[in-house]
Amino acid sequence: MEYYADIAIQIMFLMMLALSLNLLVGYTGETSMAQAAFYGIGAYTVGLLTMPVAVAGLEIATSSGVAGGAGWPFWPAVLISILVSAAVASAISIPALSRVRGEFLILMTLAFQLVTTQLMGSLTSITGGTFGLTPIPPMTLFGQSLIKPSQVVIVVGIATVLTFVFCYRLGESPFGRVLKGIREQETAVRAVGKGTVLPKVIVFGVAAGVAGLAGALNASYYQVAAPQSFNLDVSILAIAVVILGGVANPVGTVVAAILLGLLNPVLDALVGAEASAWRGVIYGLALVLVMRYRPQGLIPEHQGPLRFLRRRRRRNAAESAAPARSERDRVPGAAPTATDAAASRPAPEVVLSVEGMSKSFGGIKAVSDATFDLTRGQITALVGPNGAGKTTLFNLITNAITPDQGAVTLNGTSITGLSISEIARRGMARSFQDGRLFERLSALDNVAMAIPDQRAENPFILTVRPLYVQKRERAVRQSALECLQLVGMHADAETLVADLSYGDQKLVAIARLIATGADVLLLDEPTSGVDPSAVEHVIDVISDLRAAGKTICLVEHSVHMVERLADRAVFLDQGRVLAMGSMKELMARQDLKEIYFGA
Amino acid sequence: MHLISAAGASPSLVLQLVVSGVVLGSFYALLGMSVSVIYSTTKVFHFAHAFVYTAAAYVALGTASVLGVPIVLAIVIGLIAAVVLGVTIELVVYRSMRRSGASSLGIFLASLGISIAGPNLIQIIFGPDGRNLPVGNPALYTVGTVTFTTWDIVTVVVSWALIGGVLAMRRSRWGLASIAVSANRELSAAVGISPQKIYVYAFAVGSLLIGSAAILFTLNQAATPNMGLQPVLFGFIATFLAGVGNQKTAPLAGFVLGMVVSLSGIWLSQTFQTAVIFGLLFVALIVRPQGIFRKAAV
Amino acid sequence: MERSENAAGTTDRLVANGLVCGYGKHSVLHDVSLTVGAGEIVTILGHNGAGKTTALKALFGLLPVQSGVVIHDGKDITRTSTASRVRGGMSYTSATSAIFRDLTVRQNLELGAFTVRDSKVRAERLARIHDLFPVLKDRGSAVAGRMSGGQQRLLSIGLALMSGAELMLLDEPSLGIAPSLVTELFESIRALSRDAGLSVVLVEQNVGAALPISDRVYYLRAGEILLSESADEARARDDWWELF
Repeated sequence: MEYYADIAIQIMFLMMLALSLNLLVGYTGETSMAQAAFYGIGAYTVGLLTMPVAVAGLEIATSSGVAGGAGWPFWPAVLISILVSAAVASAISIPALSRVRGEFLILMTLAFQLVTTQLMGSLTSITGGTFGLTPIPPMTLFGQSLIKPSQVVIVVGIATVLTFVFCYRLGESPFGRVLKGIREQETAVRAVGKGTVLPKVIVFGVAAGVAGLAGALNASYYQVAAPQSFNLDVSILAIAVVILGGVANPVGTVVAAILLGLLNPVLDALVGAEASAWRGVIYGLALVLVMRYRPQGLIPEHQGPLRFLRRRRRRNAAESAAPARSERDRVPGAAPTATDAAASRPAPEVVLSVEGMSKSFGGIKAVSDATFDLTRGQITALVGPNGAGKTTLFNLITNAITPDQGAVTLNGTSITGLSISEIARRGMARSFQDGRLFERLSALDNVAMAIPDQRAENPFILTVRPLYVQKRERAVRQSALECLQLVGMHADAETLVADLSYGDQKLVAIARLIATGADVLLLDEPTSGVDPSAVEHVIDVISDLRAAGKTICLVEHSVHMVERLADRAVFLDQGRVLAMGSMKELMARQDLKEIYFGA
Repeated sequence: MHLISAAGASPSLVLQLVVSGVVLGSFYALLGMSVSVIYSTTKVFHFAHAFVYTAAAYVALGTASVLGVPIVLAIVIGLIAAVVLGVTIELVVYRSMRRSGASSLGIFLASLGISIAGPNLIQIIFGPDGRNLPVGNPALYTVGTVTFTTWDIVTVVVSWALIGGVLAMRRSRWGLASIAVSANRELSAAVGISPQKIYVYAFAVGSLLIGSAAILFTLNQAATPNMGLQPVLFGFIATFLAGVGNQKTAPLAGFVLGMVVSLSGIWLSQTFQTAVIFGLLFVALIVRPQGIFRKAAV
Repeated sequence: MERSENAAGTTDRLVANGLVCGYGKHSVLHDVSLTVGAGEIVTILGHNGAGKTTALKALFGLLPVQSGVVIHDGKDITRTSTASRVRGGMSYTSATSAIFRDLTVRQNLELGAFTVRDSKVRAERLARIHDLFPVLKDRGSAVAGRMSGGQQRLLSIGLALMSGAELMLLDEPSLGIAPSLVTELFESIRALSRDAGLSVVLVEQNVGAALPISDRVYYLRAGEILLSESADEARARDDWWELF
């Protein structure tokens, strides 16, 4: 009985490590090699806090030669362990997460892991060295010390269940949606008005905090904290559990933790002392084979029992909201989610004005002194020969590239120098030539990501006010569905974007742009690459947006398309605005013809 | 505490640390070169390099001490094994993953799997304890207050000879082609270079270097199944500090790392060397995320 | 889609029939067919994003073709590697990355002849290119990316010639260089074609510079061939707005 309880406890520790790591690896797409280091920091923290205070003249039985601890009670010490792990993680992750993605974080966390294990072994006077910090007092519950595995298993079990619920809810919440968005297309998340560094740092901290909790429980259960329990092998084991189970799938993580966790006792029985080496061989090879033949893991992201329930619920919602499946709604007078404050004021004619915009790259002027306006409710096209600076101008207006000079004014206020996400919040959003959709999310989630002011994206509110969050989320999904309806994609609301045709993907991108509630929409080649049969549909949608009072600026290379769509064209050459007017007027001008065709 | 007060640093200690810094730095330079040859060309985060390192040492000491093969021959066999292993990993694992459209993170995770499975397999075969290469004890030289061994000289000479060799090979047909692939993969294909072949070449050269480093290490110290982790991490840190894709400066970055680690011994105990390197990486990441050296022309 | 079985008998150096291709789901070319004769300069015109570059990449094997065939000198090369196309006498010059910017001019030219094993042949070609474009000889040790835009373009042509190409695919060679140099560059392409029997597929937006040296013109719009005509007919047009 005690033997099995002990095995269960070990497996549950692994589950806690992997469930929280999955938020980082699976949902956010960032890899941490230091999960075991945070596990260890939690363990040592609880040890140092709960061990009895050294009293001068009295010998305390610390076999490792550590002077003594702070003599705290168990649960406050656990809380502090969680906070310390989370704080250290956030601190070391900020430079890596805010600058470069991926490999730098791997390298940083790997180095941090090795340093931590090494310091645990060498700072003997604090950590007790290689043999560890011991004896750590056992955990207590209602004044009772829990020592036997059959007692501890209940506490650890509750902690594991709470971790599962917490990680699952967080992952499937609006916050989790932002995380997945970061994984799929970080720039697109920013382009719809959301910051990305803070969510990454938070999730890194959360993963480490849960690891810290597991570490605290571990140390009080075994009454020792020793370096070899928190080394790189444990970090990699946690990664293996996440990958094997299936990224972004907590159920898969649980299954994989049980499978890999059971290896220990089984191998112990079979090969005895060499069990840990065999376990390394087995999960190492499993990692290679899974990545090679089944990279989505045992239970892929969009499968598993819980997913099935949730999907059916969603589908019902979608059906009840969309009685006429294939008919597209006309865009109503105001955007469904727009903050109507601006619309109620008397609208100025000029919505956006760009003045004296200039940018050079290595001495070559890409855009020089470009000045033009966008008029409310009109479609303005930027045209010009290749290399004229059209897309660069888009990037300058949204500050995706920092201009050398120039000012941008939106609805009378300067937005020069604001970040792309702030500009989106102020009412101007852009699309991308290549779509930049969140491919492994549903069409609905893609659009829902763009809806502004989602307080439910705050993980704190998410935790303390779950009912409010649920209500808000229903409203968000409803708005998102309405946006999809405007482009005629509501029947595919639950389809993964990766499974849609390219033309349909472009429509989802437009719906996502509508969902930001922005009044000014910058469209970068909305019809390029779209099947000729679907182009008409895109044109209709864009015309509808104009009818609804949106101000649109588009970069479009097909003169043919500009002629049909645009009210006005701005002709650019070598980064300069040469002419403005209707496309017909511009086409009649001999000088522009010569520039365009080099004739 | 292991902290040594700075006031206690005598000139002879500093001199001794400089000499060991040269030895350690040459070793790290070789590690940096090895990782950089593979990473700058193929962009694979080849963590399984740690296994190749370990395997080279164990094959050499296994053939020498178990089969009784002469030591020089055993070392050659160890190096061959490293090359074969590195190339096999590329052909069997990475290439097929690339073909099926795996992400670079996916390839890294597979590499991580190999780096865990391999050394554990070695532990099952050879046991967890340290094993020595049967090379006998080196001669000890003393110049003034500074002492060093034959193996220290061998380490410095062999490391720089190999680095020089790789840099010289950049002028050859294959070397030029691999520079081309790392500079512009699509254009390389357009002039008729097969990137696949260049990848194999990069893995062969990188594995030869890391295998040599493993042998140099085992001249002095016992081989253990987990010996590969730290050197490969240092190799990667040197590569990243040098600026990714900058093969020429990777050995230089490695040398600086080794020197800093050694000289930090004036103030800190040797057990803090990883912490020193981590600190360097952390600061570099904040101050110069694009690498400490300005990107030089190739 | 249908296989052109008579292709082997014609003098066409390159035949493409019913090409469909794109990037993943994003299909760019819907049904593109074209032919290029020996010593002929064929220009593909069209707006940006019409699929001109994609067409060249498909012809050169840099993008897998979803359906359709490519025949070079009578051989079906639809599924062969880029390297084997280079050995077969094809070259491709990209609009945006046509040279190794970090390497020297000399290294660039050496890499151009990577598939040529015979060092004597390599030396001959290098000498010929130095004759053609003396600036590449004078600046042999310069880092390619630090030269002027026009010199970089010359180098990109030199790179293609080093491989011994008989069929050059050129993507917007006029991009980013001064108008006076464009004429000069295009004249040397014309001369190469006339004197050495070089076939060229030219992708251009600069209609004015491309037409004088072209033999025939294809107009591409939204991934489909809109029209094909002789260069004389094209030159006779007043403007090309309705074709873009």
